[in-house]
Amino acid sequence: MYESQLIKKSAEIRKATVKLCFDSGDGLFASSSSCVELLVALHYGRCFDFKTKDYFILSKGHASASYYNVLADQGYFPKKELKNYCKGGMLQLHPHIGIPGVQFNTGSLGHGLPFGVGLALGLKMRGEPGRVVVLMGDAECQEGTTWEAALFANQHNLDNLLVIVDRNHMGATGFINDSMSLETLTEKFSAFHWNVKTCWGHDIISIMAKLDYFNDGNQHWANKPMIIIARTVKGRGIQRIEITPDSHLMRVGRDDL
Amino acid sequence: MKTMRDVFFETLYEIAKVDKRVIVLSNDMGAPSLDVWREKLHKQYINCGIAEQNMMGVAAGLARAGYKPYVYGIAPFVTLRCLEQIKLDICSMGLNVVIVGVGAGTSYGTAGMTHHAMDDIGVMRLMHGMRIYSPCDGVSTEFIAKLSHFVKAPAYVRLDRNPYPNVYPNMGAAVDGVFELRKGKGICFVTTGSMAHKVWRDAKKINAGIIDITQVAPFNWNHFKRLISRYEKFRVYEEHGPGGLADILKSEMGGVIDVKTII
Repeated sequence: MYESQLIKKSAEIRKATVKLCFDSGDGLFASSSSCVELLVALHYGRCFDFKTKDYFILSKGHASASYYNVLADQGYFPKKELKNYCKGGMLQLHPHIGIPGVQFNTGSLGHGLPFGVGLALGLKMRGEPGRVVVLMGDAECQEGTTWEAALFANQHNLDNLLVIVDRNHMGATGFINDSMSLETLTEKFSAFHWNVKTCWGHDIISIMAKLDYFNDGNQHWANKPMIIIARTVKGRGIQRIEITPDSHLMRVGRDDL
Repeated sequence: MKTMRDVFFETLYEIAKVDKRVIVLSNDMGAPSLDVWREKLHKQYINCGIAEQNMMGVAAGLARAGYKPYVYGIAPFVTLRCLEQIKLDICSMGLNVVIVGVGAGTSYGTAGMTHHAMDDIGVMRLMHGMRIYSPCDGVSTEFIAKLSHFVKAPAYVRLDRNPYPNVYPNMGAAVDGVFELRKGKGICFVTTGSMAHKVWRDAKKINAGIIDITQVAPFNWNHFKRLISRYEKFRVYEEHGPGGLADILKSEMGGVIDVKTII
């Protein structure tokens, strides 16, 4: 898909996310909304093929509201399943491998990256061409396993690994800088010898430029994994949710539609 | 006399020479039997550094990519330290990862409680689908090394640190996971791990039977109940706290008269 189509698709998915959160009365809208453009660029864009070759791990599993919309729209499962989101059906709050298209049981933060690192290593050792993309939240980077995995990925030159951090600067109870600051995240990953790129997480053109950069194999540090730190807004799309640090648990109300 | 760990990895080495999917991960922990791996099978050995949680996640990812990982370290560090990774990354995904924990019970004696494993069986029992093996000598260890390669499920192999003489007559004896080492009368000592060696003197004094358990989970109740039917009562010997073999037997068999550990 070209950029203009991706922008349209993002708007579509965001609307669907709002609707899903409203209809089900559940789902973490703020977290799901900040990574809509990232999910669309990855799944609909020209860089990756998650149906056959590549692997996608939604390490920030609580962003399921938008992720399921992407999966349903791509045909992994029928759209009517979305009616039972968080109502005891197949689509729970966090993705699990019982759902077609999901590679790993996420929900507990900090697990996606080590698993992705192991998978990338295995693929590399077997000489397989697939790449592994892990989408993480930025508060998730407070987990120690993130950094253990970063050390490991650097050690084993996993240049088939791409990590995207949804940098919305917020955790579950407020700003990350008030609990355990990650400033400056770019410098931290640089120090671990990763290739670091930044982009505006709601601007498809900015995101696609960086994904192309990875896909074309351009590397500042040769043979090292890459991370794209995408600056986003938690709760993007509903202004009432965007402007407050208490956005994590906020539900979508009738007025927001 | 070789340690069980060296028997395990030497057996595995022969398997790994042919099956290139076998890969050993360790948290910077060495062994004489692994020196050969590092030298000759270096593509099948990864030192993951002192990062156990990451090591378990990586093992899960490797299993997903088609490998058969063996994660090796001192028992408490490859069980309790990375328990959530075992629970979610490995067991909830049903991945074939074998965890080899050395230093069962207090076999790392002078190293202190940080290196003791008096709770690993209890904790691994709670992990969904986890097989638990607890060999007591070179023969049973060799069998379990081969079995772990066949089994398509997460497995935990609990090895004592010290070398012990062989008490199993042959590998066939270890197949059922329950084996009568000594026929006695009246009372039977049920042992696992190093305890199989420490009870002989007492057993001979009172003519007690000795039944050794090498497969703690899933437990072979048919065979065990058949063997124990000759006796009136049994006493459990294990180098473990609550939640181990004694609790397993208590919940199935009813009253257990005694749980002992001989240091």
